[in-house]
Amino acid sequence: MIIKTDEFVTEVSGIASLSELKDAELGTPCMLIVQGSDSLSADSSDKALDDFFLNAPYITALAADSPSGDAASRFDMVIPAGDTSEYTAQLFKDKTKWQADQINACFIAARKGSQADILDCESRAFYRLMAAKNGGSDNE
Amino acid sequence: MSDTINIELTEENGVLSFVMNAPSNNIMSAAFLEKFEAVMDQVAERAAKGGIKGMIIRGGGRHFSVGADVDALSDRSQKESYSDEDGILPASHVRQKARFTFLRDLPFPVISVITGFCIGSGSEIAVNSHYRIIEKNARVGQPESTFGILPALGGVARNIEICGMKNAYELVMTGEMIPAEKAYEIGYADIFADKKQGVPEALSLIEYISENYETFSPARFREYIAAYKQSREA
Repeated sequence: MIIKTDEFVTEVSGIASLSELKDAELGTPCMLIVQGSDSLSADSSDKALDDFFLNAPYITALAADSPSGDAASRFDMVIPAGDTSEYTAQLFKDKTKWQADQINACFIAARKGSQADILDCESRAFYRLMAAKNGGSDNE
Repeated sequence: MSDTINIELTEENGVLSFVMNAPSNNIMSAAFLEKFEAVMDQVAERAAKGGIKGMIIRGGGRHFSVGADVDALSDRSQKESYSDEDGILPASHVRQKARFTFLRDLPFPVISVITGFCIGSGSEIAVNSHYRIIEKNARVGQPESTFGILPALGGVARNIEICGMKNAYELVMTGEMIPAEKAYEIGYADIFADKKQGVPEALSLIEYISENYETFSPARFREYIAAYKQSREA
């Protein structure tokens, strides 16, 4: 397994099964990208793997062109395989990690939350971000 | 253009029309939002009386709305306080947000006809509607993150619901504007229309739902539009 990390992104490649992610040192990025070959497997009965993806404190993306359904369905999104640096640079352009994390919180809430939960999350994130924008505490 | 904020709610043949005609392409200033909230209260009162087949929201000029005046929003927010410790959101925000999100719960189809720019809080009016009909050459976006904030009037929750996680994340995180064709492709818009055809399309959709269903259940909004689109293809 090869793990590359920077402030915003952890990118993993060279894995055969998603189960390998459970014990990997992935850091605390905004986005975890797994470069997945078409044969990347995911054990559909692996409850711990379900929990890993459900509770991941970052957005999860599978970079693959023809991913298996079992693998792809675990991720928040599927993006094209290959170099993702341009994609992530565009996403996080001109943002601090803290700002991106505030926005991420709403999307992470969407994994298991209701519409009401997400609506609530976006309001709280708005006031934290606005306080920081206005020069106040950013609740870091 | 006049400085008058002219936001009108009219009713004809059981269809409510909410038309925004305000300065600077419907920029959502404090005065705009005050009027918007008042008109939304009228909508709620009218809905309670029954007999409404649908509601169309649109810009009276070239654009739907360019969204909030970020400087005014920043000034207002400085006067409001929020702390994670007590977790109590400012009452003004809760009230304002309810006037946006309640559109989704109305017992008749609410359709935003998008022309020109539909940006920021303007887009949040659209995504809180049940349906969006987008006209050719329109552009939509949620650029709040480029100002260091995020859409908080339903823009995150509703975009996830209608566009899916990936598309919503890209819209919100990049803040990029997208053309009408792409908005339709990613599911932001339900119907792509030629210029000037948005309102006739909206009326046609309202008539279809009214004629084919005894009541409009907001929770089934996807079912109605799927049936309508299927009927047009038949």
